[in-house]
Amino acid sequence: MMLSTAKSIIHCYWRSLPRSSSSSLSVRLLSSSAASSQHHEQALSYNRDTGIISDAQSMQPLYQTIIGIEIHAQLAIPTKLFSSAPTKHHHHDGSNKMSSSTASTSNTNVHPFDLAYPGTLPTLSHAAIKSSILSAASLNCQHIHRYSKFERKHYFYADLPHGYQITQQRWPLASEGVVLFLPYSNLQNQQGDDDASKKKKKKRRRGRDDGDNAQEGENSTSKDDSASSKQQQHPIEPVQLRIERIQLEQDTGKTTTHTTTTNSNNNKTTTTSHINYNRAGCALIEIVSYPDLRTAHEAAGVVEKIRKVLKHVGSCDGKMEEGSLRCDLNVSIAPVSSNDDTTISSFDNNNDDEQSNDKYNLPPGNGHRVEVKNLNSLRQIIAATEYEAIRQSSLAIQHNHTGRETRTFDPLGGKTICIRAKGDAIDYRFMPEPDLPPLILDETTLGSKSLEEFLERYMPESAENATARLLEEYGLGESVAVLIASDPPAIVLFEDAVSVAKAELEQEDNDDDSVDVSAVVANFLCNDLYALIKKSAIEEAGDDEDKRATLLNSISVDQSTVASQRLGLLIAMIANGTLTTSMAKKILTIMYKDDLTSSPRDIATRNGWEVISDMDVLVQLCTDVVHDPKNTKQLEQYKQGGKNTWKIEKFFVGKVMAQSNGNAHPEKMKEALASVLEKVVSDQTSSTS
Amino acid sequence: MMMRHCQLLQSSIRSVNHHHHRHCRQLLSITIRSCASSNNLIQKHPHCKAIHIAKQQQCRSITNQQASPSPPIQHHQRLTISRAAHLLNSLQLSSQQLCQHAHNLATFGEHSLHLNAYVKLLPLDDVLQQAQLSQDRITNGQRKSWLDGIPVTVKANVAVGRWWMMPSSSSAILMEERDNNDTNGTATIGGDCNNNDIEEAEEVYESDIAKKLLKECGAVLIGITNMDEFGMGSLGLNSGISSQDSGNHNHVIGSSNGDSKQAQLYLDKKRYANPIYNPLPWMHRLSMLQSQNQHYNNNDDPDQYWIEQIQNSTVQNPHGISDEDALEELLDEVRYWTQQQTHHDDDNSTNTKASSHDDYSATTSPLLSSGGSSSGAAVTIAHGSSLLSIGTDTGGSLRLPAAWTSTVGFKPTYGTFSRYGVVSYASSLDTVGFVTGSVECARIGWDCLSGSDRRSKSNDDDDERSCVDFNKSRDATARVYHDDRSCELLTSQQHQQQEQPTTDTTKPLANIRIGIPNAFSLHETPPLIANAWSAAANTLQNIGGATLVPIPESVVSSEWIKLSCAAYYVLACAEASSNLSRYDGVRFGLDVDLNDFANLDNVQGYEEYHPLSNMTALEEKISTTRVSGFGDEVQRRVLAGTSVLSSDRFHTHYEAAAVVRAKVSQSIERAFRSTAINNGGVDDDKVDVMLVPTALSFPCTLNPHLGDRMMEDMDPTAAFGNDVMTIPISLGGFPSISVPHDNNDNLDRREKDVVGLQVFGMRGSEDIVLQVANAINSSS
Repeated sequence: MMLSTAKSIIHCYWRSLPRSSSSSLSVRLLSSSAASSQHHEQALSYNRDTGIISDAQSMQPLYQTIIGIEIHAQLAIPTKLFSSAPTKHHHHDGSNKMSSSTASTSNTNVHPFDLAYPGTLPTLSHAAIKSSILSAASLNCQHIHRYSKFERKHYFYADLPHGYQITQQRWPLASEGVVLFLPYSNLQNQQGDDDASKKKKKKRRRGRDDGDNAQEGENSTSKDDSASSKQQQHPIEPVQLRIERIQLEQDTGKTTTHTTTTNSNNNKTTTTSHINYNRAGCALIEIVSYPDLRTAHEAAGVVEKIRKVLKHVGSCDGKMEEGSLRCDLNVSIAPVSSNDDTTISSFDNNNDDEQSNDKYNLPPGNGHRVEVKNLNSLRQIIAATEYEAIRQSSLAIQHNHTGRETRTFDPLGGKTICIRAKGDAIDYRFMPEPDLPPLILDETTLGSKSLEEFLERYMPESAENATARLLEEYGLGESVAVLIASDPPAIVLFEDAVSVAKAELEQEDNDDDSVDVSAVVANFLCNDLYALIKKSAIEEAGDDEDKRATLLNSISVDQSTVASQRLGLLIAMIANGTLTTSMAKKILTIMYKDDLTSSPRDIATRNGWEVISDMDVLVQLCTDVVHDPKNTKQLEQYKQGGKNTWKIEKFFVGKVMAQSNGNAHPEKMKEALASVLEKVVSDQTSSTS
Repeated sequence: MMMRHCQLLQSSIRSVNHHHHRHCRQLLSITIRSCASSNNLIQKHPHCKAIHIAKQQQCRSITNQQASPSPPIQHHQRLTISRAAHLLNSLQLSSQQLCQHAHNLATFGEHSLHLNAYVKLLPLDDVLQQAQLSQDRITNGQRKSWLDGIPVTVKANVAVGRWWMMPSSSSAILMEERDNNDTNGTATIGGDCNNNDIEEAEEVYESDIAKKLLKECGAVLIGITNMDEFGMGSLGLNSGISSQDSGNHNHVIGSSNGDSKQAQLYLDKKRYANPIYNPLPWMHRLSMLQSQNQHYNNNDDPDQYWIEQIQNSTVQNPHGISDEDALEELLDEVRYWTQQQTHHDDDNSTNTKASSHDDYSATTSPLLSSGGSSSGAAVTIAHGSSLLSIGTDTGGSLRLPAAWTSTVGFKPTYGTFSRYGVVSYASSLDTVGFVTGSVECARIGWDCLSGSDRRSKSNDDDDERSCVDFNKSRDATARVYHDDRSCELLTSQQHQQQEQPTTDTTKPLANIRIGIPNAFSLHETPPLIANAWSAAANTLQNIGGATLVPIPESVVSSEWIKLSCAAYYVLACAEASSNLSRYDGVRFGLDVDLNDFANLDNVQGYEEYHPLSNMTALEEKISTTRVSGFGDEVQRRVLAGTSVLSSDRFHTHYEAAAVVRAKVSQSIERAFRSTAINNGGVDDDKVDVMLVPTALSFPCTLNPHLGDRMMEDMDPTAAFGNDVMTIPISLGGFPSISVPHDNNDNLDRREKDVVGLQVFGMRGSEDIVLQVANAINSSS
């Protein structure tokens, strides 16, 4: 059914804006009323780090932003919330290769229930219960309610098939959670430090970075970062966001509008709306926060943090660009007193907001809260906050307070647009869902005797705990530990590979402790394996930039073709001196791409890669090279001595290495070479003297 | 099916016009006033009285008509399932013969008696094809159940695979990319959706109950029965199907641009809907004609009688009336009365037949309402064109029509039969049940259908679909009970075979305690019904040996019972407004052309249908679709429901009604033996079942000649009062059965004086309920 005359339906999926370079932006906002604009023009600036709106010229602080968020995260489960229709997370072949980028044809992933066929009834997906409980637990919810209920939220819209959304309102699944996070700018600073220490690598990478996603950049930085990062000079206090509740609900369909102009009919414009119900009925969790945020960078930082946490427990793929994680902001402003920049003294508006000096308990007031809906990237969050901060402030300066309204963000114009003013608020007519029994978390629904037992069984180790454990048990560097811990499959791979390597070494009775197996495994995992995964992702994407962004954004060891067994064996060969690091790197590449089954030992043998560490062999090798007639000139030079002898030494190292086909153990070979050269010199001395 | 005619209504989006406000207020003033706040709940509530005063006036106007003594219905005149199954099983009759006869009756009922019981009568070939399959099974000794080969019907809100008609636009949206070469934007609305897709979609969509009945039990579907639109109504007047309707009118016909005639057509269709007529008056006349038949009088063996009757059945004369002139005369009278006075007033002057009907016009109309909303279900049973008819009961929709058509209406415990595939009216009350000709037939239906419910058993993740409103333990009890039954079913057929027909022992109800709740004894009860009630109670005591226990006001309070009617209409309307929001014209609902409606405000009588100017295009479309699609009663209830769910009324109305519901349910529950609540209590004052009348009124007289409302003095809300006796039971989800009670002693009985008595018990006690009901049924 096409809504041919539905001109008012504007529903677009915007592409991202280019990143603005400055973190503070001045916006000159004209009042909507032409008469008053002449008197009340004022340039304002917003500081994304402090959340302060100040006069652009005097830098007098005027207002502080107060922000609450609502995050809609699509659960990564194979079916919809209340029907058996497959979702994009459904894998027919059972493989977990990334297939989500190939979107299904419109309106194919639908069950009659998703189209609201009369008589169809919802049945709650068990995977959704599991996934949402894990999400709630990972966001430290104090209460995961044993008893929660579904309700219907009514409104009419073409992409809402039932005319209501099944959601939870008065009896949510979980409540009172807490998230600790670093503001976005600090993520950036960290990245800056890394940039400095890894300048060369970073430069190379830039070429293929599209620079689109902040989180992508951040990820890639740390993933390529093998060196333990320098201790932060200024340890940053994490910020706390309290979560009011987490509820399970249905997603809606997608409406797209197509406008066609025809010349034949007096240039009449026809707008048709196309509705795709593939997404309708997918499981979402809505995470509603308290208004604890104060700055744009805090808002972006917490979204990134929650994205990572949900991805970590596996409940959401976190792909903001695909709409798997969307965010609504509730932005309001509170005046700051002129003599104190940071504390909020009073509210300068006519609304009945409560007054409070407690920064983190400050209610936004229900009078002037502005909701900005459907933000799909961190940059949109920052831009929308900033735009709202300045828009609301300049209206407040004119004593023209914004009412409670709902707006949407236009990323092309960098503006928010009003979609519903105060008076038009929809009465959602919440009603208990009569087709579903209350959700009771008992043995039937959990499959475990108690919630504790359930969490014990299914809850992956939190990234923080995993980091701490990796630091303690394996003595890894912090940045490496953080990186591994952020990707749960990587933790498994790492630990398995270490134990494989150790077992292998033990079997050989190799008690040489000189090599730290854990460090080498971590190093290979974080540098080489991730690089290979990323490279193959880029190759898979080809020229498709969207696809590339998507793939790069979801890099995980999960996609590795090299499992812990082969990685462990490879590392064992380094540790026992069979292979050099550079050989091992070559073998890893072969294992990843060309030979998906052979053991590293077989690959090494096949290619004739074996370290020569026998001193006698090395000495012989060096002697041969040094006394090779071709090298007489260099030898003579060396014999003469002088400040350039190190160059000659280097020359011989290269020659010996080439002679050994790269198999010579580098340190031992240098040692052997030194002894050979020393012998040459001493022979000469003795012969001349 | 009914959605096709009755979709829609933009209720929440400011489209409420004055006309609807008025109805809305009327409704609310009656049903809701009493629930103004939960603190005031136990105040005096005048609304119930108001309803009954209205009803009494109605009754009085009806009593003026002639009282012609007529022979009571003789029960052997109705073919029972056990007899039919016996005849089939002993190969004395074939299923084809039986179903052909049923189809003849159905055709005769529709075309000659104008009952309007069917929205779709299956083509004879389809029926015979099913019957052939059944017959093959029976011949091979592979009979699936007692219902194998038995003609049945299904209510129109129950999806029955390919015979059910989904709203046509349902699958249009499945084609996202469509031909966009229409230059005129308006022409892209509907009209050209792919019919093949639709048929495919229909094919796969079948309700659990239909699957059970037709696939697993092997019953033969004769047709789909008519009903009040969405089950809303208790008189069978709101079917939304008018005599002018014939084909499929989902599609906008032609390329209309601003044709207000087209819009008027839509609006008129639902205004002049045909009622579903009660067959009782005609059945009386037919049975009098039958009694003159020679072969009938000479034949004492009912088996032989039915074999002859069925074998001689023709479409023109399925009742086997030998006096064909008398039959023709009867049909002539039927034609006269059922001829609907259409809105085309000029027809009157050119009515050439008028003179020949002078005889009839002097008398009162013999047409009776069939009760609702499962009107068609009860009518097909009463007329005999099916032996079991699936229906739904929300507030009494099976029991009231059963009482008014002298049939048996059975509503099991809420959640016993899966609601999957049954169009929702009020989800927390909708119960799938059936109508049969006798309690014995109901017993067979119950045994066959209550076996394992496939969908709720096979899906691991939807264990708890049913029994939504019960607390946890109740829910579990219902399911355990359910499982028990399915185990029993394996052996039940053998039991049946041995026990049928039941021969009552001397005191079959010796250990059963039957409660007579004072709370249901309202002073509005007509004497005839009160007498039948006490007569039945005495029968149960004297003949059945049951113990009668009066249930005092202190246990089941009449205040709560009276309040339950108000609570029901709040809750049912609220859920209906929610459930019906899907008919917005995007996927389901009429494909209206907005341009057709654009000029309606210039046409006298249609001004109110013009949408408000401040709507968006989408809102305007939704509004127009719903206003033109839903019938008046549906619109009233949707509006009332929308109103009680609004944020300023939710607590004072919806929640208050929910409290009343819980109280009513608890107080009735407390009177029953062996419920979780009274574990510690003394059993002396507890009962197994209760006996109350099904309705406090008789079927009302309909006169199409009075115009489109049939009964001019009828307030739209007065019909709500028909459900007073059935609603409290529905609120508690209790199993209940309505049994006809014929008092043979009363010689002054009029044709319409049919009384239904209701037996209801604790959730899950269907077996005892059926046992007691059978005692009433077989004694009267």
